[in-house]
Amino acid sequence: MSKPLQLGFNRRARRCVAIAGLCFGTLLPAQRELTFEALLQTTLTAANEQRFAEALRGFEELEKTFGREPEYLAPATRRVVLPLHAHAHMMQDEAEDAIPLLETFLASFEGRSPQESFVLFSLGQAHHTAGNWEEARETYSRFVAAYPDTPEASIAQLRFGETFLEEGRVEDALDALDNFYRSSAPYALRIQSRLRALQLSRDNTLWERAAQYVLETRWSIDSMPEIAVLAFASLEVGNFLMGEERFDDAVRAYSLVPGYQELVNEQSNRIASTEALIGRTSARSSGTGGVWMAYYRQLLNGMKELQAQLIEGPDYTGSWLLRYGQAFALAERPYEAWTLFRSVAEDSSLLRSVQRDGHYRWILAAQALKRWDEARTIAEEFMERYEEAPEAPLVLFLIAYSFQQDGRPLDAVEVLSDLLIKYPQHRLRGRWIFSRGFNRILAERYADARTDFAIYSREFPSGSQALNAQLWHALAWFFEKSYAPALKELEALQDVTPAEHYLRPEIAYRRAAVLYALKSFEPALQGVESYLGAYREDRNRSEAMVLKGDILMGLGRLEEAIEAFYAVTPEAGGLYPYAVFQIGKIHRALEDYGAMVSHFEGYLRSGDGGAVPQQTEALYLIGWAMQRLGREADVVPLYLEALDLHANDLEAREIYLILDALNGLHGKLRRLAISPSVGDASEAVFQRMPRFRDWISLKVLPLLDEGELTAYSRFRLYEIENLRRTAEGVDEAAMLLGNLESEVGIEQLDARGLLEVGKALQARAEPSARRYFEALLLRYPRSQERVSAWIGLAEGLRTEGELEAAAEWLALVSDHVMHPDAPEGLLAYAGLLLELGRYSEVQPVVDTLLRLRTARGRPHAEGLIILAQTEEAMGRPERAIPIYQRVFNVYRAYSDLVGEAYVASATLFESIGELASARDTWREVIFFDELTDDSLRARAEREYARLLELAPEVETAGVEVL
Amino acid sequence: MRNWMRCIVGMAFSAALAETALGQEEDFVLAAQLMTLDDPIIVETKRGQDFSGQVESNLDGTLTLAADVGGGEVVYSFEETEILRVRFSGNELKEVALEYAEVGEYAPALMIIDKLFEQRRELFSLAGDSEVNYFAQTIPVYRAAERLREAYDRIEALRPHLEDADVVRLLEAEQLLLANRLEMVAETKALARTWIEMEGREVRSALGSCLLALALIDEGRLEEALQVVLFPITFSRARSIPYLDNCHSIALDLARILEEETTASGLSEDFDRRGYAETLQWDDFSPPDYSRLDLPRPPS
Repeated sequence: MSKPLQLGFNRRARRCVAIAGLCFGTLLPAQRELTFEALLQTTLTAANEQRFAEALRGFEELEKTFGREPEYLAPATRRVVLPLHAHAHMMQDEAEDAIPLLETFLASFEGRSPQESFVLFSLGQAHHTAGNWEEARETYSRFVAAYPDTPEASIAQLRFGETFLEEGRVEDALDALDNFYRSSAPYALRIQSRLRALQLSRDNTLWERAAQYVLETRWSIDSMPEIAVLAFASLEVGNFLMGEERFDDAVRAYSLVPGYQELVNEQSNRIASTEALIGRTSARSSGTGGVWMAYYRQLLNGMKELQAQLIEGPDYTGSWLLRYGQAFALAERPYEAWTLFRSVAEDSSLLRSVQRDGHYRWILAAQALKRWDEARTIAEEFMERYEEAPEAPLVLFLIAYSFQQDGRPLDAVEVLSDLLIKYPQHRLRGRWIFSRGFNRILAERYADARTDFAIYSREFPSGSQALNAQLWHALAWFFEKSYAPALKELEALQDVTPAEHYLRPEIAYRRAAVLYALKSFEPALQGVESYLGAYREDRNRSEAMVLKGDILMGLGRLEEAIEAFYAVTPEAGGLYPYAVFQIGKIHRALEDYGAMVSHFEGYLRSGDGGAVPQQTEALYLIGWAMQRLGREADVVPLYLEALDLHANDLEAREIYLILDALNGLHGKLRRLAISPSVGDASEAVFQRMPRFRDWISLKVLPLLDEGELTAYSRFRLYEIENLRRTAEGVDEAAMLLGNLESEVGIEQLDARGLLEVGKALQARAEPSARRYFEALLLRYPRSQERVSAWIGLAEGLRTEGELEAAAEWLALVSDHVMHPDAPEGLLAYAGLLLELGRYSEVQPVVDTLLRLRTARGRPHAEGLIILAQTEEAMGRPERAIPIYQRVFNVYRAYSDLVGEAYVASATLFESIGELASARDTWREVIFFDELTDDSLRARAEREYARLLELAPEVETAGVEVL
Repeated sequence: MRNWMRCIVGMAFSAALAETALGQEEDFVLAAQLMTLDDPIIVETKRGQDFSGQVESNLDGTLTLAADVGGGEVVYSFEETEILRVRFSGNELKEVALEYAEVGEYAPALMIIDKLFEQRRELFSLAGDSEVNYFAQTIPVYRAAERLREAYDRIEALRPHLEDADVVRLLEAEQLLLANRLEMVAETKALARTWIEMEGREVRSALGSCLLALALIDEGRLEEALQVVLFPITFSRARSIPYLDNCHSIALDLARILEEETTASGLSEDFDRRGYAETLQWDDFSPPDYSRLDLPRPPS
């Protein structure tokens, strides 16, 4: 209980008696007589203890009973009574009644009371509450003028602004609050004015202004007495900014919003703190303390009101997080979007639908970060958790898209095929079919791709991708090098495509490219020039400029071709080095080696100090041209430097060529006793080495020590390749290759390294071989080595019993028959098709093999055996026998195959009752001198003897077995 | 304790104190105070009786005291449930230790704390929260005195006895900082991940994120590191959060290194707006060392 105010009344006053006619609570029983002093004391105690209704009755009784008494009229009494009486009215929402009391006080005690500041402020408050706006403002202004530079003056200024607000003068209120925010008042007050302004803007849907407040204010949430207004306003301002497509600003607005429960807790804490503050202020309130009390009370009421709304309102956390994440995504800040969406997806306190939405967007964020593997994992988790969700087909499509972007088009095809089966009527079916066709193109499955595009065209003749599907159908012919149908379809498409359609330039460019491929150079030139003239901004322009150069080369107009290639600038990206190297090729064709050297030297200098693309290739060609000019001595330092600078660069592709060239140069220079032209130590060492392989051996180990592992692997592989060429080096080569796997990590190996290590592992039946082949295909999808990787992968799959999957890889080899490993691949493919019982597919594969010059000899023989076995498997021995006979007649150098063919042939003859032919076949085995298999010879002797009994020999002069 | 033993202990303390920077008189007073720590403890039972003696053991919920009585020794056993509280001598030394620490006199401070700890460690379960909390409060003193391993072990010893959530949090922060300073990479990462998980979106300190990101950067896992530091930033609102400025700085570096232009630009604006350029400090751990990754340094 607070201590009652002690007033110094004189003794005479104490003798005055009052009869209290009113019930005065428990302290004043009815009809009880009280002295003035006692009544006054009781009244003041009631006011002080915030029992304002009782206090008011006491003040009225004092006025009524003692109103004319000198004790009551004494300044000492009035100085205390008037403000408290007024305060009691204020607390009872009777501001009008408080005004005359306060005015009386001010008129009576101006400059003579410590209470004056509080009374003046209270008068402003009373006018404010009573809706006397002008009077309130005038009073607040008086207060500011009377007590400048005090914290209370700031409150008065804040209140001044608020009068406009409550009067409904929105613009004036905002201006006044803005002025106050810019003043030197304490932050806690200025931020209140800003929050009022924000609230006002929000209430009046002045979103632009609200956004300005949210974005331009220096918020310091730790110093703010309340945060709900900012949270609500920021959420709505964020939504407004999203609508305005101001995503960066929306991010900032949403970033000020706390989660619902966090807001409830924080606001509760702040309410408790404010209440405690009021308690402390109340206990020592005097003078300006009252001003603060009034301020805190108003603040607290507002906070409680908001808290009640907050508790009754919905939990906005989920929708806020989703929008916040979306703002990041649209502001092209995928890392933060990923963070937000993962947080939503993994938060089990949120609604399941919100989590699901967050999970879906999490996939998109991972894709935006190009983390295809991770995106797939997230998508697969989505499918596990929400299999029946409406987004499920979309998620499957995202998985397919991730595969596509990850360079795994066949996996994408598989997912899309599943999708099409699972959701045959889905509205996005057309998109999926188109996408599958596109992935089949990427996987070089052109016929299948055409099937998809044809399905699209048939099912969706008016679909958004209808013309595109026709274009890709034509391009699938083009990529397959079937140029005639490609041209036919492109020309048909050109006829039906509207002149302004966005595909017109593409069709025109592609048509010219097909004509070029058909070697119809003149029409191709016309086509490409027409395209270049008509479509100056088209995205294929650089390609077309390059194409023009190629066409002119085809026409033999080499000078014009050089001019066309020079028109291609570095802005053309990868086409620029292509054009540069085409120019080099023309100089080479013209045997103008000096121009070739100058051209590539100029290219290397064009990088402005930085590296140009294909630097090592340019260096290699400079060296090559120098050799033609007889400048061998200059080439060695050039190549040695190229190795020093680029051998460890995974992108430098010509390192092996340079090593080869140096090998040749080493012998030549030593034979001619020519020293390299620059007297560098490394060249001297190179020259001093008796053999090139000694130099390689010298170079290779320091590279390992220095951690230049790519360079090390390349030198080592070169060494291995040379060792393999000699019979005595084979074992050492195998050992070095075995070491390479442990010495160099998969990431440091180039395409050749991956292939060689992969093959070595596969030879040892190590499952890890697959990793190397897959890495090769992922990192070097266009490399020469990829064909060997397909074969390697297929072999691994075959070992694991995955025959169909193995066949898929091997099918690709048919399109790359010029590859050195193509015979091996085709043989494996044919054998696998036989094993799978896909007999009808064997013959075309073997035919392809038999057309290959590179497959002459043993591969041809093996191919024929597979073909014969296929005929046998199809129950056609009469067709199998001549094929076997061809093997043992034509390929006699391969005794094992000949033996196998004899056995098969003889067995088949007997099976169809041709015993004499069988007998003669066995006899041939006996007399086949090159046969090394003694057990077979013994068997032949037994079989021959057996058949001789069944079918004795008769004279058959002039008749051949075949 | 017998008198001759006291003398020996007192001499030992004086010798140890001679190595500190204290004055001779102060040495003497402190040595005398430290000797009081060997005084018997007092066990107050719930039945209102006091027993004084030296702790023999405190095992399986039974406390055993040995007391010298009339030249002989009496052994008392108490079930934990019978004990109201345990009182120790030398409580005034707690404050003395902290005063030493405050003025940077870590050697005497830690000598006292160690001695207090030895006196009380067996009885934490009986001594009430304030005892354990006191020792938790002294961990930063060990860190300041570079006695990192001891601090780390002390935390391990205290943790089972801690109940006050704020103190637990203080110790977790200390443990994280110590694990990082001691280059205990696996522990740092595990503690940091737990820290981050416990905080959730209501981030109160970015310490866990900072230290996890630093460990990931050392491993060259820059994208993951960026993801980690972006979490507290994204949910920080306009609050002052310990170590957020460090996180922000790391995030900005990483976004630039990873050439995430829009993210870097947003972070940079925010960094400036929050005034971190003026206030950023690396007091408790070192900034990331990008040169170790052979990466270009972020532009200043």
